[in-house]
Amino acid sequence: MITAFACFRSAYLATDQAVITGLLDPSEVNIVRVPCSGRVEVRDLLRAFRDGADGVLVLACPEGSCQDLTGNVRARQRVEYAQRLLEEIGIEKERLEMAALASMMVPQAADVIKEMLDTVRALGPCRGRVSQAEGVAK
Amino acid sequence: MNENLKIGVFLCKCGGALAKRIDFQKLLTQVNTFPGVSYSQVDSALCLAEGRVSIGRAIKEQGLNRVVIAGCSPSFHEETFMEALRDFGFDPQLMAMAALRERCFGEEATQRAAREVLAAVRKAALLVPLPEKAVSVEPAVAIIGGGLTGIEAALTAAQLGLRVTLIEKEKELGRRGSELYPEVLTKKLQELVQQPRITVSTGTELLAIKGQAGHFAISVKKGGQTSIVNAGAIIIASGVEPQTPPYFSPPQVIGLWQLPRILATSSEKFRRVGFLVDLAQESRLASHMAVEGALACKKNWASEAYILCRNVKVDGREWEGLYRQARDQGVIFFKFRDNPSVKLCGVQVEIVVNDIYLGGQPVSLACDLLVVEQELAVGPSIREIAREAGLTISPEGWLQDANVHLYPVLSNRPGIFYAGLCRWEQELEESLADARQAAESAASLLSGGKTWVLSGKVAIEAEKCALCLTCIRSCPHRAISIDPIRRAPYVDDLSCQGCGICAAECPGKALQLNGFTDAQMAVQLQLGEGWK
Repeated sequence: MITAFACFRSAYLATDQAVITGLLDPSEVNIVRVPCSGRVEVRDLLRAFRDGADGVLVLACPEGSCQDLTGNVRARQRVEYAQRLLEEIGIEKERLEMAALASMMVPQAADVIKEMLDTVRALGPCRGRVSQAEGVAK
Repeated sequence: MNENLKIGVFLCKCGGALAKRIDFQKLLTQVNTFPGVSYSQVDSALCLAEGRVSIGRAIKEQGLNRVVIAGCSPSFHEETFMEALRDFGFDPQLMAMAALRERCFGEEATQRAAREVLAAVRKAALLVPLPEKAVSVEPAVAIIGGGLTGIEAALTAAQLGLRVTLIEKEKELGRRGSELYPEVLTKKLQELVQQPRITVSTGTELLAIKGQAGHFAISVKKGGQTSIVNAGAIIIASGVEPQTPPYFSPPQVIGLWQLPRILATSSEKFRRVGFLVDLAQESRLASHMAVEGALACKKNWASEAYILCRNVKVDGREWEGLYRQARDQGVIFFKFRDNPSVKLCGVQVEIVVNDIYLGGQPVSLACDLLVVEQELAVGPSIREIAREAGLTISPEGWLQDANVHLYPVLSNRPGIFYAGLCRWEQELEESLADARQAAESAASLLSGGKTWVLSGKVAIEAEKCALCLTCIRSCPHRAISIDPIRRAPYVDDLSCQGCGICAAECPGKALQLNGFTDAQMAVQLQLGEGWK
């Protein structure tokens, strides 16, 4: 299972369309709506792992196209930080990725999610567990 | 959890399409066991009038205080349901949606549906009402820049009932317009003097933009005196400054924007006129101006005209016809890949160009007048003021519109609009369209002196705030300030766009974005039960 945080202005629409057009099977993806990728905190990323995700995606708008200017840039910084934290506690950092999607990038949305599913399948279920996530960034 | 919680779950078969995938009887039984659910029903199409009415009826009869709609994705019909709930007098912020249509497939569809509904029910339980409140706004607009674009914006805004202050730094309105489009300017100026709602303030320098949408305070300086102009919205129509062109050496080599004046005033007739554009990059406006200029030279001086460019861009109304006309009248076009060489030889200019269609054979042209493109740049002072007001400047130095296709005249700050050349190179007709759109956007925000906004999008816990100012620095819309009495952040309802960046950045967790609080996000992440 993977959790994908999706910006409601872009990626969320693209993933919806990807499912409707049959390009994406959503049965192993939990798509979580966010108003802007800038809303996704390091803690949310770690919580997603704690709550059972084998992989986590942050789907944002392309850089330079964020309606909230810096949302996607902030999200990228947080993803990179969280990747380091994951490595420290023995979880492969490949399990956490970020991708840029515009609302009409429907096939790309399907590809990005399929890629993460492939990565997760190759790595197997996430054995490391984030259990102290509550303490992070508190 | 709130003890009086009464969640109503409305399952939708999406016109029957979902009934093939999901066992609704089973789902309904499961849904009724979810915490807080006091009512549930299945409908064939909730988005239709009948379905919407049934939601309203259930809310009333069952006394529901939260609504979960499970059917299509919120990207599809969220607005429809919000509108319907508003009509029933129910706070649309107390609704959560579960996307069954976009999530539930295959053998496990029913199970997945139950999980999606459960997540929505849990979220609904955590939702708080966000009343819409009327905010008073100043039904006045300040327009920065008294060019043709600014004048058009002023006229439109005044017609729509707003008070207008037109701020121009020069002594006269429409300096460039008087050179390029004298008839249009004269006509607009006549309309302007007849409009009592417009105050024209020339010779006035803009100093700073303060305040929020609905209540801006613009400080200006006129004749050494500083004063404040109050306005609910600002339209920036400051235009651009054409820069000194390459090879500039009058009278033989001039800039593209200087040609109209030369055409009008020069006693000399230039027999051979060259136009050199696309040196730095391809430009549609330069293409258009060169073609227009070449035609004017032919008409005024019976010149021979050459246009040297990378590409003739004709993506504007009637531009294609203009290009055709130029070809018919004998304007010669050269297309180059490498910039041509330009040399001044006495009173003539010698240009050597490699046309891509002439097989590498350089062509040498001797011109009496060479008209060269000019780079356009937003003036440094307006750029600095914009930057200080938290507006974004594009990498190329323009005032960045919110979305070039969808919201071309909106800035990143509500209440501040752009029109004309300050946001992108465009010709007069396009700038005027911008001006009208900006004025209408301002009027829709300000007319009636009040506007409705969601209050409390960001929940603030003052006792957690350490006044570190992270939220103020991170807010991309400049919506946050410090409330000195509460010693905590204050979020302006009109300016806040609900992105949640402040909530994510706050190290003390003093801010929470309603609808996407930590708790509301957390319930969406649980993958344990119900997944398998």
